[in-house]
Amino acid sequence: MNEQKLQKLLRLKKLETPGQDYFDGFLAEFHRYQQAQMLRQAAKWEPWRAWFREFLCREPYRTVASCGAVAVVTALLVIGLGNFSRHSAKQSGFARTPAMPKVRLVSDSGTTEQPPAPRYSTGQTPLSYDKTIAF
Amino acid sequence: MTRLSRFRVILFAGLWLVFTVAGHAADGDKTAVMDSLSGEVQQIFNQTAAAVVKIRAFNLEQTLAGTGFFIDDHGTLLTAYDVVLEATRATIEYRGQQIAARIIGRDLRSGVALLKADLERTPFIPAGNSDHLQIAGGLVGVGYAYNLPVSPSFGIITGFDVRYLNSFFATTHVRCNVTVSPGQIGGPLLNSRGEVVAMMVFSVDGGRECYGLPIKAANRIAADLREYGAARHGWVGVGVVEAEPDQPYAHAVYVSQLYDRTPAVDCGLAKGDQVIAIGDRKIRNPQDILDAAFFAKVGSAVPVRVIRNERELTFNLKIIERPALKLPVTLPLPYQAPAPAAREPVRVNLPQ
Repeated sequence: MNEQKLQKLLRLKKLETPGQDYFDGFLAEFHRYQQAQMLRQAAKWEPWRAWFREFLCREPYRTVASCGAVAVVTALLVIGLGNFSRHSAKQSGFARTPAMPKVRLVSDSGTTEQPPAPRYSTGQTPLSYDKTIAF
Repeated sequence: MTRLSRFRVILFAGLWLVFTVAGHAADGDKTAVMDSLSGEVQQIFNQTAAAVVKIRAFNLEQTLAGTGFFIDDHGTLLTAYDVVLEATRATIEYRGQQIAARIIGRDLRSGVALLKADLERTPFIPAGNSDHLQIAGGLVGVGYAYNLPVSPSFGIITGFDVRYLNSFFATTHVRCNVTVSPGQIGGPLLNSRGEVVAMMVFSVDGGRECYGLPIKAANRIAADLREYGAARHGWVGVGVVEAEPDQPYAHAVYVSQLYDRTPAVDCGLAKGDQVIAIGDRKIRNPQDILDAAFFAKVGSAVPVRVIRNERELTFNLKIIERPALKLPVTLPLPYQAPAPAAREPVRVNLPQ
């Protein structure tokens, strides 16, 4: 197929349009599909919703309010403690320790343990701070 | 063939034989030297390796690892300060077991730390005479690199220094080209008889060379650590400088500073005095001063001879304890060596 033939075919297809009944059918089909989807989503949460509705009817208003308050306070405590522990680790310097590769070693007793990787001495600590000779 | 020709042929054949045999003998000598050296290092290593242990020291933030060695059969160990730093507890790996070791004491100024494990009949390395060390003498280093088994390294003594760049050691150190890998610091440097003559305390040039503290100096500090729990360095309160090489009396050592409330001020030493002897030791250069001061015992009295206005004077100085070395809160690791300092100019009135 050369370029001329392709252009001719495109021109021909441009004139070919579907009838009005095709568009009406397409719109109806689309609406039907959308409704089905919404119903499927609603059905998924329906047991929970029913249980909650029943729970509200069964329990007195005070109990429900108390449970909600306890849940909120617990959530706030958990978040607050998490932030505090992260902050204190930074302050104490432990957070600055670089992550060491985990090496599994077998101790003399035969149990496995994960000791931190040591700093092998290279003898780089300055031996003297004396800049002058004094005795 | 005439008689002369026959003589020449025999002569050439004889010479060829002699050169061939001599050549083979020379090759054999080279091999023999290598074998002999290798055999000697092996022997020293086999003889001492059992007394060299891996040390782990623990502080709040990290675990430190290095080498140490037994100096007696009661479990006393010598190691480098850099191995324990300010750790609170330590263990040694001895015969495949981790054993707790007590840190008896440590001294930053000399780089020595002393440990004690509750063990009896431990193998130990006898101390050699470090005063007999000479340049180009062979040394065998033994230590634990990283988490590898104990291994030897061989080198020669390349010098004796009191100064590294612009800082002074507490006493003369042995510089040698024994290679030191991380973890081997604190190991012994051994002579050809398998005696410890120095301890690896400081590596330079990325571990290609190291400084060893002579065992005599290490034992002097160990004695203090045993007795007092800390090293007691002597002090009389005198700062000295060396004369410039282009001045008369080059290398002579002069008093340049007197510290307040010290025995030096009390006894009448003055700036510009030329120090010629401390005790029995003659002072020819600053190295002698540092060695004399290092081995001076706190509480003893030492005669110091000086020249002032062409007259020789003797002062009896009482040795007091050197003021504590003030450490920075955090040691700079890795240590950035400062640039070499220019020699300090000498401002003294030389005798006319």
